Amino acid sequence: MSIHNPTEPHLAEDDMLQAVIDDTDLSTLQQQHMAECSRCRSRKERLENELAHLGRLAERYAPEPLKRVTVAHDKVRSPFSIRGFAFSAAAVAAAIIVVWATFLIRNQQQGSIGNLAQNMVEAERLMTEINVLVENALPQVYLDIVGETNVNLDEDFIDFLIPTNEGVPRISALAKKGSILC
Amino acid sequence: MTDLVIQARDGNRLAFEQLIDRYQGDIHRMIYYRLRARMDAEDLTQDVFVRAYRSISRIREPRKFRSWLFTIAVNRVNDYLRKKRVRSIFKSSDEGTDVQPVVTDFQDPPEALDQVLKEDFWRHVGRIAKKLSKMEREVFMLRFLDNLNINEIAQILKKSESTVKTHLYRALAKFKKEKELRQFLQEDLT
Repeated sequence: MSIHNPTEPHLAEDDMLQAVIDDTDLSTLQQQHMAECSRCRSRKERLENELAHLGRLAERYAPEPLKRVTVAHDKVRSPFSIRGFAFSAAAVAAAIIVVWATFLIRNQQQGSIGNLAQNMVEAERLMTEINVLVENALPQVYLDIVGETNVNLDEDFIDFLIPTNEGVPRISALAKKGSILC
Repeated sequence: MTDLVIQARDGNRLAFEQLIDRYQGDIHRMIYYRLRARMDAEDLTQDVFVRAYRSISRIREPRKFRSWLFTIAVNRVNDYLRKKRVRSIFKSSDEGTDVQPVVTDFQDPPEALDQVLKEDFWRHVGRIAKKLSKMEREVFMLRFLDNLNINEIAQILKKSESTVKTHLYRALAKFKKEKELRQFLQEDLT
């Protein structure tokens, strides 16, 4: 047991904490004092004992593991686990997106082809109407008045109905009909 | 111990199982100290060793296996607590409380006394833990409950030794002011 020199001050509380953490962090003089002063040593030991007992009690009052850890086989991911479910959901969502995108692109292509076909049909119908008008410009209502919509009017009948005036003076033509000129 | 780690790193499963036998208790306790929930500690301990097993082939310094294992455990505990905090936001107030099951069985006097002391002890530890900052709490627990040295703690927390000492110093200063806990420890010592 060393004898403490009363002229040397004891370690302050801060230094005591420093000594508990790592006594080599103390200055040489403080380390020397600690080696010689039983009072400072006992203060340090008391604090160290409390902390050591804290660790021992924690160990005593903590439960033992219920089962031994096993790492023999890597866990197979169950599709019903949260991670498995999330993974499955992501996969399903990705599949839905791919299928939807495929259909969308296909529909767009089919839509453009459909539009083209519809335009062609419209154009054909328009041309048919024009051809009908060229053949017979009378609207249906007049044809109904005639009463014979499907009659085949030949050129002679037309000429009779609407005589041509090519090379024939208008007056003489009228005279032939017996008209009286004023 | 280093030989076992090297063997386990080289794919020897039996060597890894011996490491489990050696460290399971330490890791289980370390997790229990932080969560104070037995079943969660069981699950997380299992998870820590599964993770260690999967990545032991990448361990660079076999002699630092213990620090490496504790690093995995500290990270897992922090992840768990973070997720628990996030979950608690979406829970109603009555669901959010994580109360330990109360032991209602009548016990023999010595066991009942031990149970009282145990609850008292964890209540004191919980009280001081609340007074420490996150880093102070971590270094304090790693040093005095898990019995790791300063160098190991610095490796686990990826801090310098002087930083660890600074946090430890602050934690000890707060511990010294905890009269009730210190009295409890003194009485139990005597």
